Parts: sequence; structure tokens; C-alpha cells
Amino acid sequence: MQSVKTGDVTGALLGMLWSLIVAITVAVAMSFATGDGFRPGLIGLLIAGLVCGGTATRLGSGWMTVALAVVLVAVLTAIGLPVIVSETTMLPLVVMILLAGLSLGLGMAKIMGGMPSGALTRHQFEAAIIRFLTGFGYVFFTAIVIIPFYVMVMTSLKSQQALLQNPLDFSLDLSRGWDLFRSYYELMTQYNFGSYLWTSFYVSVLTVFITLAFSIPGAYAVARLRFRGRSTFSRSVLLIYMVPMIVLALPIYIGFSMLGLRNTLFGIVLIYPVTTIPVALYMLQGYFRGLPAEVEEAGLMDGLSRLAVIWKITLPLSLPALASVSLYVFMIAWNEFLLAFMLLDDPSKFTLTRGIASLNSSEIPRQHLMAGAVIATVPIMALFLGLERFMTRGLTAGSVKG
Amino acid sequence: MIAFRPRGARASAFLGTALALCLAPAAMAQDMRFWTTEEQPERLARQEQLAADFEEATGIAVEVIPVTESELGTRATAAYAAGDLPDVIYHTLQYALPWAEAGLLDSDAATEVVEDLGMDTFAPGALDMAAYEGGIASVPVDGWTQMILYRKDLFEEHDLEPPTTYAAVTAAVEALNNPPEMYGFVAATKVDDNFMSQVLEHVFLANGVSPVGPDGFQELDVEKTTEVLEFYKTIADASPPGDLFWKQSREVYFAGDAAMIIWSPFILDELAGLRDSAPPTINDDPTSSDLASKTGIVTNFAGPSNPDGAAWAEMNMFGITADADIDNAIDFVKFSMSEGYMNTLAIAPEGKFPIRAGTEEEPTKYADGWAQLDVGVDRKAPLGDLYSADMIDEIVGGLDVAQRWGVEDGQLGLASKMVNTQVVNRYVREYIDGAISAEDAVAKMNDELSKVQ
Amino acid sequence: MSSAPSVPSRPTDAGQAQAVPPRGRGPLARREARLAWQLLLPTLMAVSLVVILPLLAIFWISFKPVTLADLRPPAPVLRESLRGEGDEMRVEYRLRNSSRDQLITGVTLTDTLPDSLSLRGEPEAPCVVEGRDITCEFGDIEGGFRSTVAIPVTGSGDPDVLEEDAEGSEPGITGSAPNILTNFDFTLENFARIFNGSEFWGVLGVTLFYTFFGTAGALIVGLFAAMLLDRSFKGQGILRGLYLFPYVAPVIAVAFTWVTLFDPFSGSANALLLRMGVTHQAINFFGEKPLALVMVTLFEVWRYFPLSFLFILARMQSIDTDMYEAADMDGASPFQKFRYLSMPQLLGILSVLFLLRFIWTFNKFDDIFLLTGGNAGTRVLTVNVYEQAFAVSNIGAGAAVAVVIFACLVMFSVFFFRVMSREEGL
Repeated sequence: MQSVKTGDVTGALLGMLWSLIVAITVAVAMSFATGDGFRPGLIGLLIAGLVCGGTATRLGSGWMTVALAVVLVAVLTAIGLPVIVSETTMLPLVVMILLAGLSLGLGMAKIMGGMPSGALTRHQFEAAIIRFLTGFGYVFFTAIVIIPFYVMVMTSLKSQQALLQNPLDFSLDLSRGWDLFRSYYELMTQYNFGSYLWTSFYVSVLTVFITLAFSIPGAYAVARLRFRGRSTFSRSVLLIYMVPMIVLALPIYIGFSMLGLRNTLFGIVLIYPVTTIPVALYMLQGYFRGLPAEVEEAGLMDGLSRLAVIWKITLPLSLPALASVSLYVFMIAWNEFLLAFMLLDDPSKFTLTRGIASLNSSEIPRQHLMAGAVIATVPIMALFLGLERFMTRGLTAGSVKG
Repeated sequence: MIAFRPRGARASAFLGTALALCLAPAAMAQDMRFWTTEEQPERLARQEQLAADFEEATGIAVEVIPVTESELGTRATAAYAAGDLPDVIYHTLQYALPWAEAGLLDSDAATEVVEDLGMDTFAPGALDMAAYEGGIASVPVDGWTQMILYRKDLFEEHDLEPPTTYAAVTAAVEALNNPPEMYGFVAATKVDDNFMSQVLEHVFLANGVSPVGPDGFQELDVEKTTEVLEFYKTIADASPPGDLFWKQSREVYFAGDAAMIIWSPFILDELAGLRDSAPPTINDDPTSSDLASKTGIVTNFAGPSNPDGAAWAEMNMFGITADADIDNAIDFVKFSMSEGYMNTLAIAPEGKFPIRAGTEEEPTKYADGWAQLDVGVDRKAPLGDLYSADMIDEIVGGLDVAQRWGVEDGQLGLASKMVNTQVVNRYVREYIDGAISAEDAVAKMNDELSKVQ
Repeated sequence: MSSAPSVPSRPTDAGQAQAVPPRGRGPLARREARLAWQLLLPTLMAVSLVVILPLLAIFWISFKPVTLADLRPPAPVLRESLRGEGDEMRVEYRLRNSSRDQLITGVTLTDTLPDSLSLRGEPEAPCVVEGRDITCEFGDIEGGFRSTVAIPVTGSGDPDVLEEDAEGSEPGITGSAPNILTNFDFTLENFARIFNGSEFWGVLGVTLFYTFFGTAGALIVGLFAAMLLDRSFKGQGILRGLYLFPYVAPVIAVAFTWVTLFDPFSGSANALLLRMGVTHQAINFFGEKPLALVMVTLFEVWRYFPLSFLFILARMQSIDTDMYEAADMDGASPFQKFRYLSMPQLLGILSVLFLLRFIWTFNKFDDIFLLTGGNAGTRVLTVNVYEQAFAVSNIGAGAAVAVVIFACLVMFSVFFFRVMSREEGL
């Protein structure tokens, strides 16, 4: 074990692992970008990793390591032991060599930077491992998040035929110009997606308002007022939050069928808030508890009634929380699929998710389905990125002390 | 106990007054609703046109609602339970009798339509299939026969018999199967898809196996069914991996990677490169009719225990529902079967052979008109320009001799219910996956099918 | 009624130690409680209407042999038409029973003859005409009953107008039939059916596998992601936002994307694996047992690790840093710090998260439904509810499965609240 803990050996071992990760990542990225075949070459990547990692500690600066890595990858490719085996043209090949070399070199420089080439202390050894894992983590997470969304967007811009011929080829044929967006155009014109968007939007907004109207007073009562059964109540709210939707969907379906509310948007707007009220209640009560009670008490002293205190003091103070809850509820309503799927039949009443579900059938080309997915995803992503602070808070509100 | 009514109603009223204002329906209320399973945009457009013509003629506005075929059964039952059925449903034969028996369809109204238009203007075989309680369950509109498409060029190259029998197909699979460049067959393996039911029924019929007899359920013959299962396993093993239904089978065949597939005549236009959303990808020209010229077809298929073989037909019908505004619905169906009939058939003439050949005055009016109709979506051409006359005769001729489980025994309704449960699909799939033996598969099918009422 | 158990939401006696109001409630306290209940009333009503009531309904239905079509009670169906001309002219009523097996009792038809038509001879039995009022007493009609009665009439003028007149007055029809939903015959058939098949235990096994590994996987991956971002650097906010995408995007969009990506024919994942020489045959990721189950579990991990990661990160950032500084003084290595300082701090949130996510994953329906439709050995209990109720149209059996789910859920919840009251973290 001790022999491992020298800078050279650790560097070499981590170098090989890192080289493997780099090779796979670059191969996949290049395949997705060009549609040509790339695959990791085992011998080449092991040699490159070994040499680069093993010498990283001895090369004074990080830049030396990077330069060495690039040269290594290029030389190995030239002598027929490539780090990445490829069947492609010159330009992608050069890009690939640069990418692989840079990532390998930068990674090793970061991992082994400032380490001695001799024996490592426990701290140094663990730090190297942690840096390696961190690098791996960034690559891994970014890949698993980005690839599906990349495929979604790119598929929506390709023709069915091109997709079938080479499922890997996501390079866009820019000469098609506006024709790239044909799927979107058809969805909007032939498939009524404009109206689905609008329906989804106002259903979600109405859901937010109704949810707030119900949950603010409720949450306040649970957070601030003393009454018998308070703790029971706050627990049962959580319990309701845990009842599976499908279990409720069945009787709701039956009931709506009998009341004639099935296949109406009115029914949908009636039912969505109920699925979100428990969540909103739970989130808001956590926030209200955290507000300083003194301010409200001062208001009560001044002769304001409880309701006036809520209206004039509590709500303005909790605007950020309200924003978070609203966003979260909006997201739930916007993404809701099961109820819309079970309750809506007529295309004139579809929400966006229901509309996409209807694209997953018969003869409709795959790119339309993906274009629909993009249309549903983009607004919520835009909201999310624009208001990330509130969103993140909304997701964790009332769930963690402090 | 389910006190939905009073309390629910009050509460929804209480909740909803404010909302009702915002939620006034955006679309204009229509006089009647029409469900159709033909949901491709271009086909929908045809039906919208039909609806518009009808509105012009009668002033009755029709909302055309596309319903995915695989969901049709569930949706219809659900809408029936909710008292919310559309006025008319364009559906396949398998639903006609079960729905009529369950009270979803108004068979009196359908009978009235056929009587008004003239019984003798309809193909008698089609009316037999739709027969129900002295009338008909639903109005037959058009039909097609299932075909085995095969690569004539490869068959000739390898000196193979056309795939008209189990034995011929098996021989061809052995000779041609070379995945992933060339799959011997693309069988249907997606259990919950209608396509698998259709293909399997055809393969069962070919060997003379049926789950119904004159008195209802009839045990599947172990020996004959085992032949069917083994044959199906042969072609499934020569198929690509995955849950296959019509889509993949067409894609693989169009890419030039399959020797045989089973399909409906609907494939004939895209096979000739007339449709951009489903182009042949065998070469770089999506409009090429090259593949069409290399393709042969077989409609009558025979197994070892049934040398005569069988063809399998599908029929589409207009069902008038129990919730319909009867008069409007009758008018609409009559219109679609006369003035609008050409428009109905023109949705996809290659897969919609007229069941009503003409009117009392002009007995061949529609049959003649159909023959002139252009097929194709992005490019148009009459079928006669694309395929040889004997091939077209083979396709259309199949309709006269085609079979379905239970038609001869008057048990079509029960057989349809059995098909709709997808029991056969499930156990065939388990068998070809190697999860159960052939005897077990037959025993399980018999056990489950005997429970169908 | 006795057979429908009530929903257990009894409080456990633990956790009552917080803010107990003083004994002997003064007028102020009473007023406060009254106000509280007033504020809670709308929520309570809404929730009970749409949660409690459906739950009771589910219990009720699970003991009844109900199929989807039974939701529509049998009813007499009537059609009126004016037929024939001159001496043949008659108003025809066609009556049928919408059900094929249920009896409808006390069926009576009433209608009014329009002024433009007059009676010509005797109406067919059982119809009686008095003045302009037509009454037909059919009595009880069996399932599958059909009959046509004619009332001979004469009228002059345009036949179309006459037809309009005749069919203009809506005939009234009354009759009553038993409604299977509200009568009192109960049966254990549904439960017998679901526990009988070997299928059920398979479904339960699949559910537990999916739930356990989906939850544990999402937690571990989430923990890893949280450790990655538990530091300040440029772009940390962007990455944090990016890693939340899978959770924020609509499930239908990402599920179909996965299906597209892993399609055996036109999927990029297969093309990539083939190109890289990892496999020589396209793999059918979502269509083969047992791979499909692994795939849906992976999807679950992918989709929900952001949630775990958020909660864990929030907890990490609230850990006191003094501790670490003290540990640094003592010369603890990074791994030791994590093992002896961070982990104990995180255990609470991890256990709570695990339970919560376990329950939610157990309840998940959309994901599997969209990815595989419950085929290829991925049918979990929730999908089974849908299958039974809608694919097989047996609402009773679906409800029975739903009751089983609910029973499991109550079990988990009791456990959860035990842990919760120990773990004041959430």
C-alpha cells in the first residue's frame, strides 16, 4: 500500500483512470457532434495516462503537462496506438486530438498539481483522490444531464429519414435554413400546439392562484395559531401529500364521469389545485414559522385584527416564499400528465402534456414528438433559469431547518 | 355512499363560480362529434374536408376528433360510462359486435342507414360480418386484406418459392436471415399493439386454428397451435430485437434490411416513395420506386394443417353511438357513404377498398371512382401506375375470400372480445421469449380465453 | 358500510410536546382557535372532497364487482320517429334496455301529439292516447329488451314539417334500475382475483426492486453531486441549475426522450454502442426483461437525484464550519473529516429523505407508464391499477390494487412519522 503512495505511482494510476474517462467522454462527444465513429483505444489511452500521470509531478508547471499530453495523444495516434480510434476526416481528427490532449493534460495538472514525486502524506494522497473524483463527477453529471436534452433538441430538427439512416449524426444541415424548424411549424399550424400552450399556461396560472388562496390562510393557522389538533393537522397534510395520485385518479375519474366534469377544463382546474395545496401548505407553514413573531405581535398591539396582520405584515414579509411556492406549483401544474391524460379526450381541450402524449402514436414522425417535448420543456426551463434562486428555495422550502 | 352528486355539485359550484367565467370554452360548440382513428394530419385534413362539405350540405357542424387506435377501446368504454360518447365513431370490425352488445352502439340506427342506402349496394360479405340481431351493428365502410410483402429479387436470386406457406417462409428465413444486414422477417412482438393481434390471427387462420366454434369458445388444438407457435418463433427469432409493431417492420423493410414483412395495403404508396414522412431508405433517393419494383405480395397464406390457407381482412365501419343525436348521425353517415364517399376512400385509397360499390342507379359508381383515385401524400399517382394489374387484383380479390375468427360460426363478437383481451399476444410473446413451453402456452391461452364471456 | 374501513389518520402521541396551549382555555384562546378553524375550513373542505372522499370511494368500490361500463346505470333508451305516408303514417317509438342483463322496473313513456297530427285508429298496446297525451306503460323490461310500438296518425301538409312536429316534442321516459355502485352487495372477488394470480407477487417484487434501488440510487448519486458543489467557485450557480434540469423538465418530455435515445432501431445510444464495438446487436433497452426494469430504475435515479442533491446540499451548507477548523487543527485528513464529521450530520436528512423518496417512488406512475407501459417485466403496483381499471376495464380490481397500495403506504407512513419525530430535521 505504501508503495502506491508516491507521487509517481499515484499519478500513473489516476492518470490511466482519468485517461479512460477522457477517452470515453471525447469519443461520445465527437460521435454526437459529427456522426462518425469514435471509440476509445484501450492500449493508447493506458499508455497516455500512464506517461502523463506519472510525469505530472516532475514537470514543474501545469502547462508542461498539458503540452506533453497533447503531444502524447498526437504521437500515439500517428504510430497507430490511438487514444481514440476513429473513422473520420482530418478536421474532426485534429479537434479530437486537441480535445483529448487538453482534457487529459489539464486534468492531470489539476489532480497532481503541487504534489511531490516521492512519498505522499495521507493528506496529499487523499486530496489527489478527491480531485480525481471531482473531475470525474463534473464530467459524469454534465454528460448525463446534457445528453438527453441535446438529443431531444437535435432530434426535433432532423428529418425522419436522416435519423433512420444514421441515428448518431446530429450535425445540422444548415443549408436547410428555416426548414430546420419544420417540425415546430407543423406542430403550431397542423397540430394545434398554440392552443395547447395557451391552455397549459392559463390552467397553470389559475392553479397557482387557487392554491395560494387556499393555502395561505391554512398555513398561517397551522404555523401561528394555537388550536386543538394542530399537530395532527400538520401531520395529516404531509400524509395527504403522500397519497399516490393514481389511487385518487381512479375515483376522481369515476366521480367526474358521473358529474359530467370529465373532459372539461373546468374539471382540470378544479382538481389541479387540490394536488398542490398540501405541498404549498407544507412549504408555507415552514416559512411562516421562521418569521419573527414580534413584528406580528406589534401589529396586534396596534389594534389590527389577525386578518389585517396577515394581509399587511405577514404577506409582504413572505413575498420571496410566495414566489417560490408559486413557481413550484406552476411547475407541478405545467408538468402534470396523469390527470390530463385520463380526463381529457378532445384535442380542443388538451393541455400541452396531453398533446404530446397524443403525438406518441401511429404515423407521426419522431421529430414531431421531440419538438413537442422541446416546446413543453423550454418555458419551464426559462422560468427556472431566470428565477433559479426562488426555484431552488421553493424546492427546499420548509424542509430543512435553518 | 358515493355522495359525489349533491356534495360534489355544491362544492364545485362554490369553487367554480369565479372560474366558470375564465373557462368559457374557447372553441365554438359543435353540433356533433366524430371520432376517427385516422389521425395522420393529411388524412385528418380529408376528414375535416368531409365534415366541412357535410356542414355546407346540411348546416350541421361536425367536430372531427382523432383518437389513437390503441386507445380506442379504453376511451370508448370510458366515454360510455360517462355518458359522453361522440355521435359517430370510425372504428374497426373487432369493436362492432362487442360494442353493440355492451350498448355502446345503436344498431337500429346503423341498420336504418343501410336500409335507406340500399342493402344490395353493399358487399354481402361485409354485411354478414357486421350482422347483429337481425340488422347490423355498425355501417361497413371500407376494408383491406393483409399481405405478406417479400423481396422478389432476393427470392429469385436464391431460388425460393414465394412465401405462401409456413414451409416456404421458413425456408426463406433460413436462406436469407443474416442480421444485422438482413433480417429474415420482421414479426410483430409488441403485445399491446393491435398489429400483433392482426398478424397473429392471420397466422393462426392460415393453419386453421380458431379459438371459437359454433357454440362459442372452442379449445385451441394443441398440435395445430404448436405448429403455429413454432412457426412464429422461427420468424420472431429472425426478427430484429425489440417490441416490434408495424412501424419498425416498415422501417426495417424500407431500409432494405428485411426479406419479408406482414403489412396492410396502406404501405403501397410509401413503398413507392410517395410519402416524405415514411420514405424508403434503401437508397439515397426517398422518392424512388425501386423497392416497390422488387417487392412481391401474398394475401392467402397456408399452414401445414390447412393446405387451403386463409386471407385475413380488416373492415372499417361507422358506428352510431348510444349517446348520439340519432338524426344528425344518420345524416352524417349517409352523406359519408354517398356524396362524401369518394372523400372517405380518398383518405388512403390503397388501403380502403370500397364496400359500397355504387348506388341503386349506378351500381359500380364508387368502385370505378376508387380505381381512378390517386394514392400517395407528397406525390400522387394512381395505383395502376405503380403496380402491375395482377398484383392489384391479388390484393383486392383477397377481400372476397377473407376470413376472421368466428365469422363463419356466428361468433365474431366473442372472437373480437378474445382478440381485444390480447391474451393470445401475451402468451405467444412469452413463448417466443422462451419463458414458457408450447404446451404451457396453449394451456394458458385456453384457460384465459375460456373465461372471456 | 361496515366493511369500508375508515382512513387511519390518527395522530401518534409522540411529538405533542410542542407549544401546548394552556389548560382551561380563555376567551382569547377560544377566539384564536375559532379563527384558525375558519382559516383552515376552505382547505379542509377542498382536501376532504378530493382526497378523503375518493379514498373512501376506493375502499367502497374495491368490494364491488364493478366494470367500467357499469358506471352507467341501465336505462331505457327511446327513439321516436314519424314513418310512412298517408294510410301508413304512424309515430313509432322504439324502446330498448341499454343493459343486456339488468332489469329496469316501472318503465313509462309519455309524449304529446303535435297539433298538426291526429290519431287514426287504435294505438298499439300498451299505449293509450287521451286527448293529445300519449302514455305507454311498459312495466318491467328485461335486459336486452327491444320493442317497437306504433301509433297510427294522419296529418296533412309537408311531410318534413310533420316530421319536425312529431319529433319536436321530446317524449319522456321513466324507469328505475339498480345501480351497482350504490346497492349493498359486496364481494371479496376483486381481492381474491388479485391475490390469486401469481402475477401479483411478481408485480409486488418489481415494485419493491424499483422503489428500493430507485430511491437508494437517487440518494447516493445526489450525495455525490452535493459534495461536488459544496464549495464556492465560478459557475457553481450555473452547474447547480443545470443539474436540476432532469427534475424540472416535464416528465413526458424526458421520458419520451429516453425512449427515443434508447430505441433499438433509431436510437443514438444503440448506434453509439454499435460504433464503439461494445455490442454487435442492437439492445432493446426498454423491451427486454430484466434490462427494462434496470432501465426504468436508472431513469428514476436520473430524474430524482436533483431533489436529493438539493436537500443534502442545503443541509451541508448549514453545517457549522468551526468543527472543520477544529478538525484541521487536529490534523484530520479529508476522508476522516467526511467520515467522522459530515456523515453523522447528514445521516438525519438522509434517512428522512430516503423514507420520503421511498414513499414517493412507490407511488410513481407516470414514469414507468410512459417508458414501457408496464411491459417487459416493469409492471409496478401503480401501473397495475391503471391496467386493471382501464385496459381490462375492471374498475373493482383496479380499486382493490389501489387499496393494497394504500395499505402499504399507511405502513410506511407510520414508520416515517416515528423516524420524523426522532429526527426534527424536516
